[in-house]
Amino acid sequence: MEWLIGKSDPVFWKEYTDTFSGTQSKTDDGARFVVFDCQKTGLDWKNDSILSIGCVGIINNELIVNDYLELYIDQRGNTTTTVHINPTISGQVVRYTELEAISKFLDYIKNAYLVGLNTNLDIEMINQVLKRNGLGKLKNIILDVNVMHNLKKKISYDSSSSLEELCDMYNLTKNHRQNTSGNAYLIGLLFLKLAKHVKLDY
Amino acid sequence: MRNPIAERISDFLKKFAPFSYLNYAELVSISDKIRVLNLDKGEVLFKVDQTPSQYFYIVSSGTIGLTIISDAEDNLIDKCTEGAIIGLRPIFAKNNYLMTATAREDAIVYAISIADFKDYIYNHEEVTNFFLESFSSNTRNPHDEEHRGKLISQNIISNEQVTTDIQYFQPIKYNAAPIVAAPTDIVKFIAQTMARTKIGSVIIQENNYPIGIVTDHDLRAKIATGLFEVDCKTSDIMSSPVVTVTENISLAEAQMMMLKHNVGYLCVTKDGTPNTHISGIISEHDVVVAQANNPGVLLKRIKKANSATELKIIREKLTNLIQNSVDKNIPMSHITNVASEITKALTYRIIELGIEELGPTPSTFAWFNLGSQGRSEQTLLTDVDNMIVFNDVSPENYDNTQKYFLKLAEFVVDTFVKIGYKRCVNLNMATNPLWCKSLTDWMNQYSLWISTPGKKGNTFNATFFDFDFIYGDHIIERTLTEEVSTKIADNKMFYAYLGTEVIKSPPGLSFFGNLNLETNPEGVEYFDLKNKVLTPLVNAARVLVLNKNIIGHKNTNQRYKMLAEIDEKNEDLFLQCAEAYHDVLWLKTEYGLKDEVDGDILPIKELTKLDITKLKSCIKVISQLQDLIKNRFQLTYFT
Repeated sequence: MEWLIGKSDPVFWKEYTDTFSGTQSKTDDGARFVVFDCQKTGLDWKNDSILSIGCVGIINNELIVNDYLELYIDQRGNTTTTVHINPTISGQVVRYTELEAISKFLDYIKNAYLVGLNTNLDIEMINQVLKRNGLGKLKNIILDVNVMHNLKKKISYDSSSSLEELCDMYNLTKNHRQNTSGNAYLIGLLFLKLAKHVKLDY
Repeated sequence: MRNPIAERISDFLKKFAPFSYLNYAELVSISDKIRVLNLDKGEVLFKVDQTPSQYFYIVSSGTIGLTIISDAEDNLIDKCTEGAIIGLRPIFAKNNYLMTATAREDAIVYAISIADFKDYIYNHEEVTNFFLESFSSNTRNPHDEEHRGKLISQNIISNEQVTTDIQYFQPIKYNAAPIVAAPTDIVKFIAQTMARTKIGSVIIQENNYPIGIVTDHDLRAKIATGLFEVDCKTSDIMSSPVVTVTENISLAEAQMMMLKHNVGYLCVTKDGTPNTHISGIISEHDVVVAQANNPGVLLKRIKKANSATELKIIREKLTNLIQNSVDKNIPMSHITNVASEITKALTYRIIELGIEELGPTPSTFAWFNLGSQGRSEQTLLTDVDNMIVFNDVSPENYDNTQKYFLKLAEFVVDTFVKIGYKRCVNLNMATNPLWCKSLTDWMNQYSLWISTPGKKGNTFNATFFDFDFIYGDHIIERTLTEEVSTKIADNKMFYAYLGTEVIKSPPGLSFFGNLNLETNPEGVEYFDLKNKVLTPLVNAARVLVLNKNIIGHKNTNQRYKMLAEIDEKNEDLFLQCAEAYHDVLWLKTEYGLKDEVDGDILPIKELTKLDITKLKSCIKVISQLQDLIKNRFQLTYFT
């Protein structure tokens, strides 16, 4: 347990950082994108925690259904008091500790481009988890579907729309279950629709 | 590990054959391997002659159009919507795609690996049968005859489907240097010329105006039989007058003219009347060369059809024809001309069937189509408006006669509904005893409308002034037209009333120049095309031509062109109106076909920027038109 106090990094972190050592493939030739969505106990990035993460992969403008990850995080032992577990996820699912979850998440995303909706808070909370475990910040390049939408519509850079509003605008059937994997799937479809119109330049 | 995304897709798939034959676990394992694709409008999924991909596709949302190339043009064969399966060809054959699949609107498509799916095909009898049946029966989905929109057999191009070819609307090629002769020429020499040049007809001209035609038929019937000597003058044997048509006539129109006048040759003149110079000749041969299959065939089939079901199939073909024409930017006037000829033939045939069914008519009568049908500009399956005028009968027979014609009208309207048309919501149909009465009653009705148009209890509807004679006694039609024409002359009240109708229509643009939109109960914004644009344009054209006492021109576009000719001061405005009307009709047809609705309202989200700009310019024309009408009929007192 030496790595907990910063002397040596855990294996999964090493493997994660190693994926960035080579040159990252450009967006247009088969690069992997991972769409993610987080369910959280609240909007306070310092005191709230992540309940679940849903992810799905996109390669070559194709959303790949079995390139997929959904993680539920066990809230027991968590210091925050505001935990309210959504009944739909309190059934028979495997729950991981925060550390297990983050290791699985990093192992899954590798060096992919991360795609999300209104990502700032989600990313900050993931970074908090990493920090609590004595690790660095996420290294992935992050794309925000909302920003892409604003670019396409040429509206103010910081105006933000909810997933429901975007679904309405792009004629997508909404996700009534409100689970993270369903949201990730919808964000993925939005990304597919927008990626062709917005020049990805980084 | 459970995969909620795969489960979500399974929930979608299980609604459609052949996936409905599989159990849930199997569906989830198929869904798990799916790739989800997004296609923007116009994006190509696969192309004809392309090597097949390792996937086949299911449409999740949006519409994919399947086209084949014939005559170097793309021809739409089918529109695939939610649940349709496409790109199956590689499962059964090793060769390339035979069609091109293009998104007609933004679409989301599931790609399923063929290698993964093959096991399911062969392990499930129902699934195997489903595919075999669909490949052998030519329809896409053997279990869904009604909508047949679910499974596309990539390897079948049946001749049936190609009948929607579009060449009929394209201008026909004809001989622009016809051989002509003078009426004083000797027949023998003309016959020699014809034999030498191997042609079948010679136009007889005087100062380059066509006055007649001598054809093989004339020589056969009049010279060879010995009726006339071979050295008589051509004027003795020529057929006169010659049927003339305008330049740039479409193949469909040419054939229709030939069928209508029962001739084999049409003389082309500068403006389509015998009063301008000859510019060419169209022979039956030209028509045959230019066509493989055409609306004329539809007309013939209508004449032979014996049931509503048969007529329905023919009407569906017309829809395909219109869809293809719209896709190819065929001028709207050609489309409306052909569509209206077919609608007329349809009405005629249904009335014939009705009379067969009900027995002989108790008196002569005339059937008139009203509204869009009456104006010969109906393209979609919208409502039917019509009226019956029967000849005067003795008062004691009146009730029985009316009863018969009401029954006939009920039969006709009922058949129209079976074909897919809608009943008129305002009951402007001959099934309504108000609009099925004797000639005298109708004359009184029209004079009442004309003398006191705004009176209470006087159900006035301007569409009754767009009547088009379809079936029955020509004398009734002529009497009625003359009556209307004399009554409306110089009747200021009447014009003022009609004019007010035009001005009253709600404005299409807001103060800031944006489209005035409405919202339906589901919260979707739409633009009311019918009430804000179409109706004012139609009404304005009607009042203006009636004011000039022109009864013959029924078509709104033709009306404006006519007005432009006689009213030089406002020529520009009227030409703009004519064009605007076609643009609007175009939008209506295009969006009506796409969503399979009547196109009276436009879903604003689906309009392209270009369409919106067009729409706005049409609306601007209307406001100019309203000003003109206000001044002409001095309507400031009325509003």
